[in-house]
Amino acid sequence: MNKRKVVIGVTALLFLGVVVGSLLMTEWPAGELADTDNVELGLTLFNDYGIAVLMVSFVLFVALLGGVFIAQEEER
Amino acid sequence: MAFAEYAWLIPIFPLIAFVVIGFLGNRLFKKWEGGAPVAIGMTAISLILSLVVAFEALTTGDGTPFVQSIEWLVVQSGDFAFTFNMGIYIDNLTALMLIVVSFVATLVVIYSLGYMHEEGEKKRRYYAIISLFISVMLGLVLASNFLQMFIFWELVGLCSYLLIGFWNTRPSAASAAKKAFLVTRIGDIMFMIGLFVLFVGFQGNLDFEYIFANVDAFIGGNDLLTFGTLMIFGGAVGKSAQFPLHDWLPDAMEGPTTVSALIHAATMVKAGVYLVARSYPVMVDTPTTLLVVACIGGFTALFAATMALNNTNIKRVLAYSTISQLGYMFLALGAGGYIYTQTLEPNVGYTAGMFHLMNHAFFKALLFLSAGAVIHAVHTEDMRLMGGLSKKLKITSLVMLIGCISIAGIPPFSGFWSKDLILEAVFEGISVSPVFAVLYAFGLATAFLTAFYMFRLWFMTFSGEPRDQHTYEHAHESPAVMWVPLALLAALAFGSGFAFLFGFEASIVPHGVFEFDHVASAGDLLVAMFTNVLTYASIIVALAGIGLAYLMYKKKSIDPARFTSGTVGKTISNVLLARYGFTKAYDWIGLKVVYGVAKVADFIDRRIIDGIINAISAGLIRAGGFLRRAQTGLVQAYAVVVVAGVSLIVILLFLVGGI
Amino acid sequence: MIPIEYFLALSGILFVIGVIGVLSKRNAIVVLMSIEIMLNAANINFVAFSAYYGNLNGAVFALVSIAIAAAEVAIGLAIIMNLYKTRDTISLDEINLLRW
Repeated sequence: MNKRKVVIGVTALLFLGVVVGSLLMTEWPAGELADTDNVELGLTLFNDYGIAVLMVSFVLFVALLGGVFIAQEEER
Repeated sequence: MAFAEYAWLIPIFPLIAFVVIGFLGNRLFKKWEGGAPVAIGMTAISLILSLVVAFEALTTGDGTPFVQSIEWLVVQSGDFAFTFNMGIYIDNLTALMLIVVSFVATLVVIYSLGYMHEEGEKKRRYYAIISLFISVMLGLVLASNFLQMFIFWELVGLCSYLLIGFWNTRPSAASAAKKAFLVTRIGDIMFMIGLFVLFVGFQGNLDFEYIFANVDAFIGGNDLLTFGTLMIFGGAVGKSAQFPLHDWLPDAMEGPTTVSALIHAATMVKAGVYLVARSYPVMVDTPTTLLVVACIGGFTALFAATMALNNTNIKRVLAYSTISQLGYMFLALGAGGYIYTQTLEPNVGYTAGMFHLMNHAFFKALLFLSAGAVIHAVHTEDMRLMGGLSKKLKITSLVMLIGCISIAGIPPFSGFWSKDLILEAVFEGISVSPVFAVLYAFGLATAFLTAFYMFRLWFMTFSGEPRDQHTYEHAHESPAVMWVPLALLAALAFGSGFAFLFGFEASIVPHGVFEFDHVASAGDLLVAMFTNVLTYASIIVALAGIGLAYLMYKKKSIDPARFTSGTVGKTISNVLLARYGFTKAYDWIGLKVVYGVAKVADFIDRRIIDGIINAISAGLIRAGGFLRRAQTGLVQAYAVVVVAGVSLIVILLFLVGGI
Repeated sequence: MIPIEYFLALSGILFVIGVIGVLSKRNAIVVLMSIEIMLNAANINFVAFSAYYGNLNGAVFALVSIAIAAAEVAIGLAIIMNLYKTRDTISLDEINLLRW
């Protein structure tokens, strides 16, 4: 058992404990599992959050270009 | 008082000589004997001015001193204020000292013209420092308050150091100069403590005029005043080479003989006596101090005289003689003062002390300068190599004989009058305290020893057969520039005693303490003196001393070796030569005690204090090195820390109650 | 009916698995994959809340999050390629230039 793995294991366990513990301890309000209405989702997406969609697309575009630029082969 | 207003110029002239010779000497005086004429000229002007001022003070004054001062330093902080004045204070005592100092100084500087002739480049330094010395000595004599006197006191010590170590390439001279400075420094520190006491007690005013008029205004009680005056006497002990700070004076003979004559016989060592005399109005309030002064003086007189008995170096014998005669002066001052405090009647002690100061200055300077002439002639200081020189050095032997007779105390030479007065003053004290009987015995014994060793010196040097043929061949009489001052001093050594008959007693009294109601005429004084049994006691004792020396060294009927052979004689002889072990003791103290303390202090400073600082810095460096290991450069390690940190924060917040 | 805690617990455990992967794997690409797992865990969380309480904001946010995750992976892979070109290794144990 090398020391590094032990430390990581302990940290992760601690973190797990924190996350699960905190979620189990809170009182979630009552609710029922229901299917998402996809039509509603689409309409909300483009009506209320259109700007967000445009921004996300812009980010994707820039990421594409950036990725290509960073990973270029150097030409001699 | 017309001339007294110019008295402040007296120290200025030699100071000008010092500046000129000291700083411009090399360029100006290549041909002029290193600047000697400038020194002689300035000193002569000072002499004339001193004589005029002194004459005026002695004849026209009504006893009140002439004081002239300027404010030098004014300190005011809140309700504490003091002003330090610099000025001159002229009364009969100052007049006496001025006459003595300037006269002897002029003659010595003229004599140096011949004595230092072969020194070459070093002459400039010699004349510069001698001029500086004369200047500060005159300043010391004219000082108007204790602090100013102390300043000049220290300057005189500095000049003494420079002049003792004049031949600075000689290790013995350098170490003698250092020893002189250090031993007198101990005295100076005591003087300073005394000054502090006086400063506190007199609320910051150290002027003579103020203190002498208001001795009763001393705050702090009589015990504190006694301590203060004892400390001031301590300064005098250091400067005047009394027991136990006597060890520097015999070693100070490493300097040129003219320096020994001027500084260590006639002027600087008298500064201590002058200080005690000047402080008389304060000291008569503290009888204990005066008793201590008398005891130390009397003891030192005998103590030093014994060490001169078998010494073979001509200058050392004269040095011991100086210490012994200074002891006489302190004995007289102390006895006179103490008797006055107990009986409240004027007595002759103070006068006797100062009278002896004047006479001693003249005949001791004479003796030293003639010893210098002898040394100049035979190029050695060891008396065992001399002998029979009276045929070749006629003038020198004659003047030295006059000096020896004077110091031995044979009438009508000067030494007799003052020594007899001293013994008379001490004898008066026997009715006051039995201590004075012991001191009188010491005084009488010292008179015998003085006569003995001085004539031993004279006979060994000048009479009999030459012990060393080589030195005898080369001996020659000194040039006129050297024997003329000797002749003048011889005349004074013979004649200065007669001042006693002509009103000396009435004029030299401690100002403000007591006065003599009547001035006896010369005839009355003579009669009183020669009908007193004590006078004859001192004459007989002196003649006995001379007689013993004659038998031992001239007629050789008693062999001196009788005293030094055999175990007892040899031990005594060695003990005397080793100065009763004091030199070794002081060396031991200096090496073991002072150096030991210094080593401990060094250890604490370097190891402990520096060690703490170094330890702190080393600890911090190590802590830094330890913390450096957190920077691994591995991103995943940092991520572990982030995750762990977040968890811990949440747990903490939960425990504290924020979530 | 499944209580909401199950979904949240699932998302939490997935997240921790992702964290373990990020902290302990030597291969840079595997670290990237673990980061994807973490992002997905967060998405599950969003969607769970959106489904249980009928609020569509959660779902929208999940969609945006997926898009951003894609962009980030693209750039990440590009950086790893550059790293390989300069250091000839993608083992994170060997990339610690701080200790020069």
